[in-house]
Amino acid sequence: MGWFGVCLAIVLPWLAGVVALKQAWRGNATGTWPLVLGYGYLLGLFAAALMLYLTAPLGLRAGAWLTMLVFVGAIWLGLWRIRRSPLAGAVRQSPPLPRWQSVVVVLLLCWLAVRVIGLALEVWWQPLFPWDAWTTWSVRARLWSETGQLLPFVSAADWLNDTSGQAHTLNAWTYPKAVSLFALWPTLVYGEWNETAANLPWLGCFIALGLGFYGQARTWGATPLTSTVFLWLLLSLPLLNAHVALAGYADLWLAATFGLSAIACVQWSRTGDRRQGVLALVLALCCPFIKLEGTVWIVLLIAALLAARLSGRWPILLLGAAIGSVILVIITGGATFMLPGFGRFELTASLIQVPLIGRFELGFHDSWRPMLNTLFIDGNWHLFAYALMAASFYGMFRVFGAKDVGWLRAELTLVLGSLLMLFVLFFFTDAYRWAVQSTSSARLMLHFMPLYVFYLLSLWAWPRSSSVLETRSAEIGSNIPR
Amino acid sequence: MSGLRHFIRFVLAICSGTLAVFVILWLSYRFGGDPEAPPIELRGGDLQVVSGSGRQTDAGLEVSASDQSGVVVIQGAVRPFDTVRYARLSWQLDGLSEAQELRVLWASAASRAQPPNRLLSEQERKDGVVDLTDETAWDGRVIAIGLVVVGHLTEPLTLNRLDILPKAPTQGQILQAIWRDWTGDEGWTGHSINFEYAGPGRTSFSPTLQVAVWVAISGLLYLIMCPPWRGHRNATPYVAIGLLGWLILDVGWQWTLVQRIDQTQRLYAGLDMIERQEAGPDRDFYPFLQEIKRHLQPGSGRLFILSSEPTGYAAGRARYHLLPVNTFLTETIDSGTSLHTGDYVLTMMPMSTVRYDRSENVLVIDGYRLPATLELSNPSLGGLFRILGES
Repeated sequence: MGWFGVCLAIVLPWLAGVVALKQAWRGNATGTWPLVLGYGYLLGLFAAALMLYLTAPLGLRAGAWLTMLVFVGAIWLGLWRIRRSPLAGAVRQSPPLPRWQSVVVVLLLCWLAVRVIGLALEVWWQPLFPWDAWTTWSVRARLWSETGQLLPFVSAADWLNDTSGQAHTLNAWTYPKAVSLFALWPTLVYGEWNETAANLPWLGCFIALGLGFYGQARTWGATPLTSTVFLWLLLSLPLLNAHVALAGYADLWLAATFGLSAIACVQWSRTGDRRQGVLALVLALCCPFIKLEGTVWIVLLIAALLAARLSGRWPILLLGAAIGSVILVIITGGATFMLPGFGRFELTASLIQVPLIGRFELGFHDSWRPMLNTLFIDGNWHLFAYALMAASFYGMFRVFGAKDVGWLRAELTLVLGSLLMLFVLFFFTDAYRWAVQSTSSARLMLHFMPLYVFYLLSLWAWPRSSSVLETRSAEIGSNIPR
Repeated sequence: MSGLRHFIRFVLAICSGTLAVFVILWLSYRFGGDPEAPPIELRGGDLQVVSGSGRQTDAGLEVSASDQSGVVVIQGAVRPFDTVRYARLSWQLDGLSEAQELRVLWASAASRAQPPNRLLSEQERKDGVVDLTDETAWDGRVIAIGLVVVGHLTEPLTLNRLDILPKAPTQGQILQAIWRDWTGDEGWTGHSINFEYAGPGRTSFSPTLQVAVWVAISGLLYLIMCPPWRGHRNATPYVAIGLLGWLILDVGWQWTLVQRIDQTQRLYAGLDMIERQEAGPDRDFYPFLQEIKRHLQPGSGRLFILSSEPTGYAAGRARYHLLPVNTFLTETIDSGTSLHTGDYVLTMMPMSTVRYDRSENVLVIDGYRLPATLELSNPSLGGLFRILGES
């Protein structure tokens, strides 16, 4: 079907996701449309990847057509349901913007549009470029696309012993499949392997991240100007842009998925909005299918949940208990146990092994210089690291003594917890080499950048306590069927 | 009126901050040197006795005797450098007596046959530094440099270090260096997906650091002019300074992106997938790989890609371009590899452990013999072999 097919491959899952979410977000409350458009894209692409995986026994091309039909059906059904129950309820009216703010918003959006167009041109012209893309993620996509079958990847030892000739091998054969399926999906509809078609979902992911972020910012209660400024801060991060221009890596997907999940989690912790809770949960469950470390990042969301719900001394007591348990395990010789279906977990004073993640030797390594370079000297994040440092202290200062700030406890848990995890990883394990060689340190931080930017926004657009009641009133009103 | 006053102070703060940053950069380049011309430091094994006799010690190069004509020549092993950038020599030489002459000797591409030298004055000997800027013979590209001591040794000489120092940059060179910090770009490289920096390599004063210092100084100046304890508690000016700084960096980044898009367009715009590979970094070996792909029948056996760097660029790209052929990257093949009849082996040059015996149709890999026919070959890239017997 050529490029028309590729357009369908991008648009149909997107529409299906939008229509599905619109059934939950019926009203026209501020921020609804960008939120639904942003999250809808991610959910739609994940649905497409899942459908391809489940229909693989039919052959990938047949599975792709079946998936398209399912999306068409879902869109039709969703639209029919929405038309049956017309949108109702209170529409939160935003006050008109002062003229100068309108001008700044328009200028910023034009600037971002120029950025997106530039990145789109890179995706359009640039052949597959980055290393892990043509050694891992796109290798699988291309093989599956060219053979029309979801052929398995096995270890080198198993490959040498395989007599069927169907199994293939890669160094990273254990990596999750979702990102390769994202690249595969449009090429199936295109009709053959095409690198540009395979990379286009990355551009969509970038735009969806921006839309989802903006929608959440407006839902939070930030003004259009504030929301647009922070949107600019997020989408102008150089390393984030590089991951779009040089499409093919999984980090952009994990940044968008985990980031939007964490933001939804923070929203839920503030308003108790179950829709946000479900969004956070669904996207969190998608993270392990993108990269192995996605499984670890989910632990942060669980900790954030507890921090939001427990008040008083409980969060600190729990944190103390967790740290104390780890220390106790280490000083008593360590712990080893099997996780059925996953593998062996081991923790001693000299090593940690986490199933699916890897085995790391423990020991202090002086990674300050490369880490400081990555954060404060290199051009990865403009001035963001400086701002995050100041905001971390400010947030810690404000959380004590402020009332009704379960959302801030959740955010601080996510922000400080992620920084602590990265600190332990790059200073106390043999992953310090990734920091010294600057091969992974910035990419792992990228996963948390949308969350960090939202954290700064939430401190700037500090919600008034009454806004919690306003949000709930508007939602209750918008959900009353007529 | 109060608003206007605040605005004027705001403008003053950012203008003063700009000036302060410029002064810091100027001082840094003036006295810290140009990162593109770092000092050339010669120590230990970099220093050799060319005339006379000596040995390496912990304290440095110890010269115990001069040659028969009473001359000691010590040479520093250097890569050629331009006299445009470097003009000062610094050293630490112990054991030199007043009766001995000390000269600096150098050879350039132009003066190879008769290397010029310069007698060092008493002050220069005492300071351990000489500036050769005004020497007419200090010109062009220097390919060798050293010290000459004339006069018999009464005690051993110890040369601890010999440094070639860059010229103090001129105003114009400083401005050029600052401009390069902001506009230099390598284009998309292998590290772009891992980290990003502007400027020609990791400079000590990256644009991010420059702007961070500017934000800090401008913010501090505004704080001094409008202190919070006098009622000026509005955070907006500080946020505005931060956002201005971000905007400056983002404009620089956008300019970098425009340059890279331009390069991408010139290389690949209008080309189809195959033409892009033929125009890109794989152009030297892509046609050969396509020939191999056409040669291999669908459903044919496995392909072992034999390379001295199986995890390297060439092997990885070969595997990618040959998809959907079922490939295995390896550094060697032996009896444990379990090759089957009908499997293929692609040897990627250079492989010193591999040879093919045409008379016996045997592929020999590090002594391991495999019956095989040569299907395709390219003298500079490698060969494709079909295995005839089980290993």
